[in-house]
Amino acid sequence: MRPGLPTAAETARAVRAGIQVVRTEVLPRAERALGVARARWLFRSFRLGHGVAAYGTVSARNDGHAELGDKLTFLGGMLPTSVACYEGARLLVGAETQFNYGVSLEAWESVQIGARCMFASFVRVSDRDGQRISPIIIEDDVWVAHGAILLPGVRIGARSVVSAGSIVSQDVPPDSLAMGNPARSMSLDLVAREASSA
Amino acid sequence: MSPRETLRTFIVDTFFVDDFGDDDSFLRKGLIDSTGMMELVAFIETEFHIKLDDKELVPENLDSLSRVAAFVTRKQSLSKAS
Repeated sequence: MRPGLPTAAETARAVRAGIQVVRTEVLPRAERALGVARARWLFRSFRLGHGVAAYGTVSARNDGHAELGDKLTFLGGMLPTSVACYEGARLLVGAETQFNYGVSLEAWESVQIGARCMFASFVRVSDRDGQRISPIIIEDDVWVAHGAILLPGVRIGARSVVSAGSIVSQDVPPDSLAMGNPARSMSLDLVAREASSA
Repeated sequence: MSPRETLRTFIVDTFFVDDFGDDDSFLRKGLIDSTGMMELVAFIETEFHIKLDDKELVPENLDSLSRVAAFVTRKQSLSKAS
C-alpha cells in the first residue's frame, strides 16, 4: 500500500468521528435554530425576548399585552401548547421558563409568571373559570407538575412545587409543596429537603 | 390510648414501617413521603378533631413522632381552652 493513504481502519475511525460531530454538534444546533425561528413566527404578535424556542406546535394568540421573557422553551409532544392573551389582558412570562406540551395558558385579565419556572405537560393556568376573573401570580422558580390546574386568583410563592393533578384554589406560600383537591400546602422542608435540626 | 400510641399505630399500619424511634426524623429516615405526610395530616384532623393550618405543616411540628404527639397535645389543649 502507498504511504500517505489512510488504512480502512483509519477511514472508519474518521467517518465515525464525523458522524459523532454531526450528531452531537450540528443536529442539536440546527434543531435549536429551527425552534427559535418557529417561535419568532408563532409569537409574532407578542413582545418577545431573545432566544425563545418552540420545539412543537404552539397555538398562540395575543389581543392584549403579552410579554415573553428571554430564553423560554416550549416543548413539543402529543398535543399543542396554547398561549392566549385576550383583549385588555396582561400576560407576563419571566426569563428561562419552560413549558412542556399541552400546557394551556390563558389570560383574560392578568397572569404573571416569574423566571425559571417549569410547567409540565397538560398544566392549565387560566384567570377565568366561568364564574369570575381574578389575576394569577406565579413567582420565580416554581415547578408545576403534570396536569395541575391553577384556578383564578391564586398566587404561588417562589420556589414552590405544585404536585401532579392538584387543583390549586388558594394561595401557596413560598417554599411549599401544594397537593390535592383542593390543594393544601406544606413546607418543602418537611418532605423534600433536609429537615432543620430546630 | 395516648395520642402518641394512636399515632404510632397509624404510622406502622399505613406506611408499613416498624422499629422507629420517637425522635427519628420521618424525612431523613425515609419513613414517610410527601403523600404519606398528607395522609398523616388528614388522619390527625379526623382522629383528634383539630384543624391544622397550612402554616403549621412544618418540620418543627411534624417531622418525628414525639414532635407530632407534642403538637397534637398542644393543639388539643388550645382548642379546649377556646
